[in-house]
Amino acid sequence: MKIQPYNKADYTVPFYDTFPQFLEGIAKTYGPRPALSWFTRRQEEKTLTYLELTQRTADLRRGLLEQGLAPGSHVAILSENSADWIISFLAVVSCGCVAVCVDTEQSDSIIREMVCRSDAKLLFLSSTFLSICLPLLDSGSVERIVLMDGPARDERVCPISALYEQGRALEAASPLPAPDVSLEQTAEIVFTSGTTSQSKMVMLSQKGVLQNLCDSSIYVCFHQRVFCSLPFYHAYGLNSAVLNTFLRGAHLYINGDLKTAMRDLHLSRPDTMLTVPLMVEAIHNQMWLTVEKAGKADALKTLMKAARLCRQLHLPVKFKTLEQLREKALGTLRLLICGGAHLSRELSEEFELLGVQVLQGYGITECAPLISVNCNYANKIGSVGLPLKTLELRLDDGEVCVRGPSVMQGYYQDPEQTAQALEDGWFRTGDLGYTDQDGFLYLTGRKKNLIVFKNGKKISPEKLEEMLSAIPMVKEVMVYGTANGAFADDVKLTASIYPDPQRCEGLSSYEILEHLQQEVDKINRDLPTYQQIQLVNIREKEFSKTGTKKIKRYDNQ
Amino acid sequence: MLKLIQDIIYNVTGKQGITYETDFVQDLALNSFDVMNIISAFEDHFDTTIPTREVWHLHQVKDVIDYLAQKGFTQP
Repeated sequence: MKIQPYNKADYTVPFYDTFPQFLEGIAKTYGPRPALSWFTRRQEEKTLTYLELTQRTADLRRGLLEQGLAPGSHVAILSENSADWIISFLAVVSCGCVAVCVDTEQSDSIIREMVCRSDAKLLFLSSTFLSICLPLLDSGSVERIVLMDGPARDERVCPISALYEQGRALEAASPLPAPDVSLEQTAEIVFTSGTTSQSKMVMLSQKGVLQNLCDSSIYVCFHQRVFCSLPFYHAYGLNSAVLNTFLRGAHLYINGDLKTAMRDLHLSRPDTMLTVPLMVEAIHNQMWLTVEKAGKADALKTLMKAARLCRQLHLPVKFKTLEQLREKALGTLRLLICGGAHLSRELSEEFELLGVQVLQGYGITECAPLISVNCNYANKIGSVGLPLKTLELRLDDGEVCVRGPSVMQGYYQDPEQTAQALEDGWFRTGDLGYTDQDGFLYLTGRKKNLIVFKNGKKISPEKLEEMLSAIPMVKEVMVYGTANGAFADDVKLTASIYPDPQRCEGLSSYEILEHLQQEVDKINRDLPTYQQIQLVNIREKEFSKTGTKKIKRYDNQ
Repeated sequence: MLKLIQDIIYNVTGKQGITYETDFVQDLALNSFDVMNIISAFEDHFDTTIPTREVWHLHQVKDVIDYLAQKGFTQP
């Protein structure tokens, strides 16, 4: 496919190259508009306007600079979604430092390992993670911890309020001009699942991140109230949802806890939502559960059938019952932007019948993250949309490869993996696909050995295999996703184990399985729900292997 | 307590036939979002907070009952 010509006139939003410009621009353009809202546990709504958001960022940035933070320093952020997460991020990147976005859903030891590998000397964290990270302060891996919530009971820990106050006083006395930051300066380090057991650290530049946001504006128009419960430590949540909403001057509602996501979704009454298939399915299931409890499931199914027929005949779909159902189940929602994993065609179509447009997109952390997305005005259900205008897209033996300004700078401290992933600027996504005559991209499978879940999370089986191999009775193990439903990403994590014959002597198959299950349960206890092994089976023979003695994954599933 | 938990799980997920040994992920095939919604319903009912990282340790119905008992909640 040829690169599509574009020019700045295509952009429906202002264009920025660096974060200091971005902050100055959104403050000037959208000043008094509400920028960011969230709900407290008692369901009180808190809001910051664009002016307040950018002023707070300037205060915190000044406070950080007073701490002697040099340009290019790495600063890690480890917290649940919150307004302070966003402000800390903006403060760090707008003074030319690098924000390291740490995955909060990892085990304690992996979190510490991630912070250490990133070379972050300053760490913003919420109280949930304080006890996990204090040892890093003791060992000198981290020089300073800033606590984002609650009082700091340890004198080595600085509360974020102190940095705000210090910065605010200094800014009031003598405001500093926006720092001069280079386009090529790394802005974010985001962790991603790789084909090795250790996650890779993707470096995204200032220009790369902002280009990705601006490019998406050509295809997708948000409405005015946007809801996001995606974690900010992923590029999808941070760049495509949070920063993208600010770029457009819309009002972002954030959710800090999956437990209250549904509650906050209803409270915020959004018209636009960026999400993953898991959440779309949850909304869908909840809607049908309510209908079933009211004994109206059969009537609704018949109505849906009629609506589908109208659509096929290009007749307007106007049914009062469907409108009432939408109002009750989905409120003011009109646009769902879905990414991270595959969303079924049936679900997309059902939402469309209810009057909610579903735009499926496709991205990967290494591309900041968006690669392609459907358009409000041209939506092909089943495709992942049109490639962004500044990205070149090539299919190499079916594998999607992309090149352009938003592609990563490389993996931090990993030249070997960088060289494997980037070839003359082309990034090999590991996904297989094709494009149709109109240029829409369709994904058909994966070349890389990754298991993708409906919540958009990915895991390399090697990571779990390494943990399972530590069980003495395990001689060989392979982890894979077993189909658990109608769709490709509906998977059940399964461990197939070849037990060590010497250690199993005299034991029945049942005893071996019981012992292994107990050991797997112990490992599961320290893993987030989506990473837990759900099925264990034992095999009587060794796995078939390649010439280099690697397990042949596809032959053994 | 089991009856209360059965009601909460039914209201949130529509699943029935819950026993003390029922495993949320392995037996009910719930995903992480369903589990969080159930925990959220427990939180509302008992007016308490269960930290997300502690939710990872609640695999079976009896784990939830034990957890609530540790926090002093034994009555519905």
